[in-house]
Amino acid sequence: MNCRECFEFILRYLDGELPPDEQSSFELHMSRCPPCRRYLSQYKVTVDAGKAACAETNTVPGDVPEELIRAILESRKA
Amino acid sequence: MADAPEHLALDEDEQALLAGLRAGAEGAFETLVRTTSARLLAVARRIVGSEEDARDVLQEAYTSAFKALPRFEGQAKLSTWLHRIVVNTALMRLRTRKRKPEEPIEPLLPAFKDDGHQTQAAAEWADGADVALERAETRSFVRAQIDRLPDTYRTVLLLRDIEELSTSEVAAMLSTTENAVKIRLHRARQALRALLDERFGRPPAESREVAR
Repeated sequence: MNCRECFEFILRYLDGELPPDEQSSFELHMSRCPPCRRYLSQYKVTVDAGKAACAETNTVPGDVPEELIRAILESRKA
Repeated sequence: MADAPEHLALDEDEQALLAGLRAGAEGAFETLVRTTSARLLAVARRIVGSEEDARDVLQEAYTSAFKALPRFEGQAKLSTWLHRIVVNTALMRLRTRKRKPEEPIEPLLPAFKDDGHQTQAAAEWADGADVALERAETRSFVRAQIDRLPDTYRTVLLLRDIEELSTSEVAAMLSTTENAVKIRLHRARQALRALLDERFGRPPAESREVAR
């Protein structure tokens, strides 16, 4: 497995979807290739960063304007 | 998890709420909206971006949900069912509105030579990207980079990584294949990784004195 193939397999590797022989090839390449290892690590940090960044945009009760709640409830009667 | 599988049962509170909704009880609708709308407004905001559009999406989604209530069979939690309706409504809104010109994603994807090696290895990141994420300003930067992704990729990243929908659910919502969803998600993550270089990348030694 070369670098290009490894890059293509990252998502399936992380999802545990690679067949055993491809997983072994992937891991062997990673163990020997520092740039690919670095990329895999950054890829994982990126996924976590997205989750961390968006988690705080979850609003809490009270953030929804009262007039919007009233409009939603009124729409049922229309 | 010790919880009962979602498709098997609503808990007692949800069953009582559902009974109230089906009976047309005003209080039940108010409870439903007051307990679910904050999270759903956040979902709509993330997908459509603007506050005005997000509020429209929320109202439209609840209106659709109220109409669809007779067909709700309790195979998922009410909140999960509503979440899917909001996501679908937000996606429809995206399709029908004009967006600002998008940046192409290709320059953000890794390139390779004929022998399979990268044309240019990814820049090293300074240690402690995870520590940097503890700062609100860094998280805000990350959100801004997600917003820079073309919609085709941004929506898949949001639906899979943030809203935590399954690949098959996202494929159904976007009328595409599961394989296409996986490819888009992978590219979206790769492009976001490249965009994060600006913040997390270790500056080259010769330019460290001018780096932030």
